[in-house]
Amino acid sequence: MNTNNPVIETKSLSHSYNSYHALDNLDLQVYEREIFGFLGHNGAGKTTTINILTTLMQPSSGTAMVAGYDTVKQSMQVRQQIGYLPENVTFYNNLTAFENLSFFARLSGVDNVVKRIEEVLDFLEFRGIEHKKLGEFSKGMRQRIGIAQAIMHEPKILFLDEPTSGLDPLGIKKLREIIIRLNKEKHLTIFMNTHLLSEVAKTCTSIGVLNHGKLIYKDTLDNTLRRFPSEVSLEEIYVQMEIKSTS
Amino acid sequence: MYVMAKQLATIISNELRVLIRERTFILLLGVFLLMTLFSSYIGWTTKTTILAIYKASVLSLQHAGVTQIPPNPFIGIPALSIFRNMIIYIFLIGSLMAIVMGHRAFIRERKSRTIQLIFSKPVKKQTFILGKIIGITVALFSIVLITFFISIISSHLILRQQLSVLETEKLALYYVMSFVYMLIFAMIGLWAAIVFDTESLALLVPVIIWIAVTFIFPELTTGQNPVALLNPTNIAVTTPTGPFFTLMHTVLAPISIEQQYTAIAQPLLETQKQFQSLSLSAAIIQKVSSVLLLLLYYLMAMIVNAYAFVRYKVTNDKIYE
Repeated sequence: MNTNNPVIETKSLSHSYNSYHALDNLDLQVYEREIFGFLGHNGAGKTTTINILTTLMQPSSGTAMVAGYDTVKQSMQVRQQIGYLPENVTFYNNLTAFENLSFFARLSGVDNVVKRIEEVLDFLEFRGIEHKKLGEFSKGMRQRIGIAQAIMHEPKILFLDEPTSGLDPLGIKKLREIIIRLNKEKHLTIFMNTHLLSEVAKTCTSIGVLNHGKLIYKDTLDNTLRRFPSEVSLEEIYVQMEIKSTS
Repeated sequence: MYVMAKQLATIISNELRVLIRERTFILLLGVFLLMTLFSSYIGWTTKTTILAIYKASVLSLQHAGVTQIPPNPFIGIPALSIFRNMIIYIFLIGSLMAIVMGHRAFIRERKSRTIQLIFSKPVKKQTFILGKIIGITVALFSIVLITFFISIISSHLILRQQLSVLETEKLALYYVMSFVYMLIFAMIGLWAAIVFDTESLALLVPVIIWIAVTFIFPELTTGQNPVALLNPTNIAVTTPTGPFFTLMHTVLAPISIEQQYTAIAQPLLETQKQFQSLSLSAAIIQKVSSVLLLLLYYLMAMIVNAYAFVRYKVTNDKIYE
């Protein structure tokens, strides 16, 4: 059991799209410096959760606190504490990497933009691309620019929605290394939506499983792997949870 | 307040930078410059052709022993009337390109999902939409300003005539009204990009509005067919008599943006001799209702955009690249 205060906490969080219940009384805590993998099938409610936590949408009912701030009543304070990389963002293709990063850094209130961009790109080992247009970038390179814009203002929590979606194996490996370094070296709490179980096993410190808007499982990765027989893969554990929950 | 001003400046400068890189701005500027040059060139060729015919006729009449030679047809024709084609270019091409500019300004953010990134930063909705509107306004104003200077230069170089101070003022005011007219369409393009779910619908609806404003409303209120309305020589159409057209004119003319624009453009560009004697203030006063209506429509378009954007749900978007 984690003794830290949760940096993300939801209480009875629900959201409906007309008659469809995307989230159903979600109670969730994510603790400081965790890499939290939020698993679930397509349509389970993962993106709805991340949208509420990043203040992009308001829940139908319940509350969500991020870095000690209410996502509805204190949305501006929440946004100052978080970085976010949505799924499949393509940026401004006609602008250079520097111009893209500079735009988002200024919106976040970063003071010395040029110096900060250099620092972030150094950290991501991504120098030399500043003056290339984003239209020339591969998906993996765009994701790194996405991470760069998300951490530009030194947030406490980083939200990633399916960050490895569409990446080749090398791109996945590179992104995984970055996520782990951000957690270890920059002490960021990372909340990651994914359905790639292999990635969760290699990256996350704790996991939650969402099924039809309900949280059906949450524990640390170590406890999860201890709880189930060693020969069972994470994929099989996940399938068992889903079947158990549906039945 | 200071933070908001900085964010506003960032959004405006980014909008301008993207417009230039997308070449929308350059394309629009190029089209406007061509329109101005064409307008001057058509005015110049008309004048030189008619003068050549007049001179040949005078010689022929003199050879025939006619002593009473009719006066030069260009004596007394207002200098600014050579730009009368610009009225048609603006309400046909300028407004359509303004729609594209407004449309692109927002649809691009939706398609690339940068809208989600922007609103994960501490940016308020009103700051963002204000930045977009100002960005579009600055871009269109720059185009109109350059076009105004090109008009003056072309009248000097092509037509070999220096515009007087009053004529320059009238030309400047004409471009200001053209700027307001195009801004209304840019706002319509922006509004449709905010409210419609698909990119094609977001472009189609403003084009339908443009067709209604440019062709259908003027036809209903004047009884003139669209081709006649596009002919610059017929530009000062009179309202036909009859209960239907009287009713249509009374009801639709105030909301026919194109007619309000044409009404103020005519005295400013001195399309007819009687407008030449008007001072700048007299030209405005004569069509003050048209000026006020154009400004009112622009204000309304901005308010509608602000309202539409407040209701816009960032996460419900399905227009992705």
